[in-house]
Amino acid sequence: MRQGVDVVSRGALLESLYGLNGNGWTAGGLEEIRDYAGARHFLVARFDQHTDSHLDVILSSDWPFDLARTLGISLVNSHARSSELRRCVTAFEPSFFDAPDDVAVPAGLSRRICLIPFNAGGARLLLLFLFDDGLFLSHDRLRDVAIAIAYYAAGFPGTGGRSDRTAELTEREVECLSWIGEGKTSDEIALIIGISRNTVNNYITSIMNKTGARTRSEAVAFGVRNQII
Amino acid sequence: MAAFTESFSYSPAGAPPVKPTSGSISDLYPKALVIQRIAAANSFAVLSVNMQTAVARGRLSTRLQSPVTDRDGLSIADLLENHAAVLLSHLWKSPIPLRFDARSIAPMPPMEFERNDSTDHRTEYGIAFPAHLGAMGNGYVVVCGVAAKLDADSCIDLHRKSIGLMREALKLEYGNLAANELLSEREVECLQLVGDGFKSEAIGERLGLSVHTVNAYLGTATTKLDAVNRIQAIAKAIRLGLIS
Repeated sequence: MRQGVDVVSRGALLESLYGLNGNGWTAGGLEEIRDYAGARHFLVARFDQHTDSHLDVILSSDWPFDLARTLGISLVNSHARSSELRRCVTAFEPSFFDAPDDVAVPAGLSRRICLIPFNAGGARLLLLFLFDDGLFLSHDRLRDVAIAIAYYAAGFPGTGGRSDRTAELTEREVECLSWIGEGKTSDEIALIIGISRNTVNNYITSIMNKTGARTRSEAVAFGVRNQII
Repeated sequence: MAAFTESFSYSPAGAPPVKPTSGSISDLYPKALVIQRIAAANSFAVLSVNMQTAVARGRLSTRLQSPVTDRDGLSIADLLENHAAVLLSHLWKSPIPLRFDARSIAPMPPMEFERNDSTDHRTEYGIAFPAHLGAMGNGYVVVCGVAAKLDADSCIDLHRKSIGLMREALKLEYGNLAANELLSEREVECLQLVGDGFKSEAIGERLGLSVHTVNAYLGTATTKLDAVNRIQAIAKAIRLGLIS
């Protein structure tokens, strides 16, 4: 069992991460990052794809499975549901949560969980750490970790570009949706883009079908939430 | 002497300059100065970046910068003039810092920082640290004419401080725009339900209000958000984080 924080410099951490030459979350770099932070278990999840309460938001984890399935998922979901402004002002900044009383945490682990939101390319991710009980946490190291893990993830395929949801809409549909979000009417959009009003309405119908929105407002809300517009 | 510039805007598309924000961004001057000193740089700048969308060109604007001097050599203006396109696209691709000089710009992974020892280089260079926070507050902290001997360790240190600075700038921008002061609880409720796809009638039913009252709430919310209609109000409210 590891005790306390190994004394490794930031440079050495990065060197070993780059040495791994990893191209995915399973490549072992997370163990290095976990050890640098002095944590016991790591969990990395993507929160920008709105796949409510499914395990596939978790990209990599060595948490006890039951804890990942319950507490892990619920922390990721509550972060995904908080306001965008809140998420932006907390990006790359470690924060702490105590596990609710009804969650069973294995003996020897602290109930205090560290949550670090970070962005790498277009992907918006969360790193969750579990610690040994009674361990002194170095906030300084956790802040280093936020940057180091973003660098590490930068090289992975699939972290570039925006949320995959964008792919479902065509360029013209995104253009229409953007103008609707700017408060334009169908007639105005037809004038701006130089197509007929009926064509605009067809695009909008198609957008609403693809996004499952019942109203234009909901379609715009979808676009903004998924950073399409 | 202009100690800092709040409203200077560089807009390649000829877009109107960004309005200066009400919070005082100059409060962040000392923090930016720390970054400049660690890098032993000649100047610094805090840039904000607006993402390019289907209807809006990407836009770079200078939020804060060190005093403009007459000295020759690499300046923030060179960066904005020559490399704006790279700055606009890199932020959403990668968190790796950008190394630039008057002619070129390229990502510089932290392990390559050591190789840029300025004593070996005749050409001056600068570094732009990307800060991608989310839908808002994105940008770069830039240092120009870096003279310090940097390494991977100082890269993390400078990057951490840069992102911290951008977070502070975002808080200043929106901090005094407290959600509950701007919109009433009822207005937020109605907007939230509109964003979830409910029509006024359904919202009225859910909240036990008449359709007219719901429409009145949505009308005042739209005015407060300076939007032309309720759809734009929804987009603005989500971007501001007033509704989810």
